[in-house]
Amino acid sequence: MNLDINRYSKTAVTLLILAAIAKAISLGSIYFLNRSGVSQTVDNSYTMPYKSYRFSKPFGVVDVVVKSEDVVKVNQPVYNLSSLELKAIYKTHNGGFIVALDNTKGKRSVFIKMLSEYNGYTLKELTNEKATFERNGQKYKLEFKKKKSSALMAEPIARPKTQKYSDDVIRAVSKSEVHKYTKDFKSIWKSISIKEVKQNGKIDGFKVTSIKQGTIFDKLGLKKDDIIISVNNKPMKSYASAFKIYKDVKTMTSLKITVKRDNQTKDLEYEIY
Amino acid sequence: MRKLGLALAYIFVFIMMLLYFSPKVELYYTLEEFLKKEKIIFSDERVKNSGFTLELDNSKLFYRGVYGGEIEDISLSTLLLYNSLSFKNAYLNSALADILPKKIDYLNITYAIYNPVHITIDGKGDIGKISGYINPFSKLLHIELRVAKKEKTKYATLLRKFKPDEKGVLVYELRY
Repeated sequence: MNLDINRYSKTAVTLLILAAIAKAISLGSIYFLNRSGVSQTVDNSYTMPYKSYRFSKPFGVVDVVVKSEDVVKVNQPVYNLSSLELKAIYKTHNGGFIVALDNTKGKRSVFIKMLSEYNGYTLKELTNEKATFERNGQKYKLEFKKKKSSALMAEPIARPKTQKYSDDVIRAVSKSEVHKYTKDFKSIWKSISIKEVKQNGKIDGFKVTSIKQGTIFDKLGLKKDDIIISVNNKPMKSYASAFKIYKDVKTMTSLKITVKRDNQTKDLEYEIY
Repeated sequence: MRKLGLALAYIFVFIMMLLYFSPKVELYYTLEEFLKKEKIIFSDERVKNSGFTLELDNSKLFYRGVYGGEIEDISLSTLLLYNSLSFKNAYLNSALADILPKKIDYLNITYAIYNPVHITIDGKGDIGKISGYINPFSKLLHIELRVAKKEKTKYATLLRKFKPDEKGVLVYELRY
């Protein structure tokens, strides 16, 4: 019996010693390990949504037209309004109205009176062939559907007329076209490829390494080798800031992309409608 | 012979004690530093050492600063002969819904002595059931995915990387 107690106590003492050694090794190893974790700081600060304000407007001051013919054209661009399909124009002595089908609302018929507003567009002028709308100082025309251009008219967007813009002009991009890209993540990478630009080990913008002709990014005026340094005055210093723009672009009404092109900083401004 | 058996038993017990007392939380923090270099961050998690298991509750996952989603429960067990890493209820960022499933119910990655050649993978999520293995010797990742028909169009972007086998199961293989 005595022998058994001795044997058990010997085993217990050995196990205790082993446990003490194991614990000591564990405590010793803590010295070489990290004692605090890593956490991500998320910027939750509220920033006012970006709006493109032109201060000359409320005072009735018209922007001075400078030099070339190109710029003159660009100050009064005319866009096609293809979200609406013009069905009839009624001119009366006190103005008139139009009947149109709204493609974005399942081809619902709408009546728009002269000088009234529809989706932010004000009907300003009527002729036998077309209705002219105005929005934020820019003109949009609505014409009767032509057979040849039916494919174009079927797009439920207000698409800018294909014309060359100078870099200093505010361009128009349709919301539906923007949405198309936000819904299909992969189509972005089919259209554009960008690469981070690093300075002192930190991201200092994103370089456009390739751009597909005819895509929205091409229409936006972005060019290969442009370095996108900020969007809506928010510097592109991380993937998170780029992703935030991707997430928020659905609700934006205007967009300003600041790029470095040929060592010069350029602002590309867009109105999303 | 008896003495050898006893010595082996003591060695086994000592190893188990080492595993039990190992500073899992600090080891995890050190692993986090390595992951940070790969731009992967687990943030805001509650870390708990439960003896042989390390548990992480409500971890927010970030990749390159972009929020990837939240994982309710991650547990890592090391029992020498049986090791497992399991994720339960992962809710991925809805902004990535086009390329990734919104929810992963569970994902278990196991390495056990009874299958020493394979690290097995088993999981279930919005997209369907996933199973597969990693063969560390031939450096092969093999994943089989069983997807419901309606999910096939929803996750078309992700599923383009998979190829159907003769049974109709979607298979993805990667040699690294």
